[in-house]
Amino acid sequence: MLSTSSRSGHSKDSGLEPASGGPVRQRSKAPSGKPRLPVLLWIYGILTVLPLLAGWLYSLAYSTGLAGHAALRAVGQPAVDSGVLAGKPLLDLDAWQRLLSPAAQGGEAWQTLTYTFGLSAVSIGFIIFIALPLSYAFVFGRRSSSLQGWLFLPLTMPPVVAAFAFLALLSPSGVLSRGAYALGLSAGIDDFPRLVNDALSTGIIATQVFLLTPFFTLVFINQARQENMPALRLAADALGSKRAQFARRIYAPLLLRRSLPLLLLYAVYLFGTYEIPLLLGRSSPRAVTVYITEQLQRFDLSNIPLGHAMAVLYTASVAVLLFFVLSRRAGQIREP
Amino acid sequence: MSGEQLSADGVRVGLRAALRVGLRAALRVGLRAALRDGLRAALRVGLRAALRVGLVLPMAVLVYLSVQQAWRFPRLFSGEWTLQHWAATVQGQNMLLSSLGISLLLSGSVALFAAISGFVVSAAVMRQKQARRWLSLAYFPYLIAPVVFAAMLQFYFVRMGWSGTLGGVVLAQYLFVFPYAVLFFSGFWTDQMRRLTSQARTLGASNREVWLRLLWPLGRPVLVMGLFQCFLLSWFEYGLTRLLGVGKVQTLTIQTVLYVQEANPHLAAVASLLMIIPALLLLLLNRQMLLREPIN
Repeated sequence: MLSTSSRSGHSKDSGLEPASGGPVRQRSKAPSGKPRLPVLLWIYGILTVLPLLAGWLYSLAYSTGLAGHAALRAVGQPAVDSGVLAGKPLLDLDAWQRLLSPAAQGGEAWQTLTYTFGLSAVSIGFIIFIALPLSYAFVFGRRSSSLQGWLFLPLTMPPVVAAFAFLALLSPSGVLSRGAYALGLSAGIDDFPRLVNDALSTGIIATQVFLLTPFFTLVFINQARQENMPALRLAADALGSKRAQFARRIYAPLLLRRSLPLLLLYAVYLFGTYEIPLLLGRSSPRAVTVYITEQLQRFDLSNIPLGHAMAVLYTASVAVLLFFVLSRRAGQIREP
Repeated sequence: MSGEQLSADGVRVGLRAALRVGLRAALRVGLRAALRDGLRAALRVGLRAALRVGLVLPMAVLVYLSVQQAWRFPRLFSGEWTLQHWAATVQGQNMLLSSLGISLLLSGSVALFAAISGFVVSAAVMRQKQARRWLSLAYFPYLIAPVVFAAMLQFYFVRMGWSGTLGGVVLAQYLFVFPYAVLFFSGFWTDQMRRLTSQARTLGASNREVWLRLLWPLGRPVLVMGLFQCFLLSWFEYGLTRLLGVGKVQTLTIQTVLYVQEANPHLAAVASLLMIIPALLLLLLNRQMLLREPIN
């Protein structure tokens, strides 16, 4: 890519010229007179937008029966007489009706989406609840760089490894259960409360909190230093505020406001986690990602459109959420 | 007794009483403060210890499981220490050594392609007037769950014959690591960098010279860091590899889940530690680089 742009002689393609000012060379123009988009931007657009759009359109087509009919036509078979598509109309919204029907009638969309949304919201809540006071202690407490270094440890763990470690810790035959038995707090495996594959999703939340709390603690510490919190606390002290008041009314709101886009982005990330709910979650309700893969890999072919419909729904909701977060972020950047 | 003597005695008694009360009060306050400080210090030490234990315990469990022979309930410590799981892995008696090789090859290739292309493309993106808007495009493939991304792309990969191949998984991972690389490197192209480039051109530097003599030396630490981040992103990936690799591309993450599902916690722990060790090394190296060459 680099050599192509050098050979072409259009320095714009190399992406090194200033946007305005400076010795800008003549911008290459299309015959219509409009400035031509650099090749690298085309590549960027193709690599970021095209696969996602193509995948989304395929899932949409499959969930509405269009892809199935088209595939059969492509191999020369009349769709209406073939297998699972026999007698089905060209545009078949059965999967969408099944997915979006009320939970009482077997519809799983709302249950799955609200469950996954709840998981991310509760995890983010716990992360803030722990990371904010921790960062406060690091910023205003005795300096302990070694302890701060320990915060990096969970960042080296892939989610699948963290999920396995928490399975070994929290399962009925895990470390905690054995510890409780040794202390006489539990009579055996059956007596120990279920902390994995449980109704409250304790294992999933604990693992997500373990993985992300250190990261957000480091983010908050960094932001507190950027905001010059020690100076702000001195000013607050001089004005007669108590430490708790400072923490509640200045420290927490300021940092939360600054890191809101990041928190929202991580909420979106948690909305799409797969490995942790796969190993530590229950079979019902399931996380969105687990639901989609299960439907796509079942032997019953009539469930595949359900998986694709959920994929369409999930992608659309993430896109809307991202659009909201990014526009909010842009608003924050524009602020003086 | 004269009036003067009486008043002197009164003053003495009064002073004594005041001293007694003062001493008692001081003692009470001092004791209370000492107790409070002691409690605070104990609480601080306790919290620090709890934090350390909480951060290390999951990893310690993995290390423990990897050197245990049989870990039967209800024993917390079985006492049967062994290195046989590690020895079997090193001698190639299980799939872990080949999985390690596949993972290294896969993540290394993805990281290399993504970091180099991301660095070059981010330059072009950040030069645009609407750079932020262009950049926001990168968030979409990066934040959609890779497993859902794979589910939607599966049809195309099957049609192209890429499903179940190492090249197919490299391509699929590249599609979500590349946008991350662009986002990561976008921070490098600051106004200062643009001014420097512009100045070099004014002084007669060619495109090639600008890249080789200015941007490469300046961007090398950032590029290396970005390479590490891309490597880790690919190294940690499970869902996409499982779906598009259809069990034929056996990375370490795939092996870990297989061992967990087979109820073999010892080999699962070995696989997990094999995944953590490079990440730990990269983190140490990353921190050293960060300390040596801070990036603003």
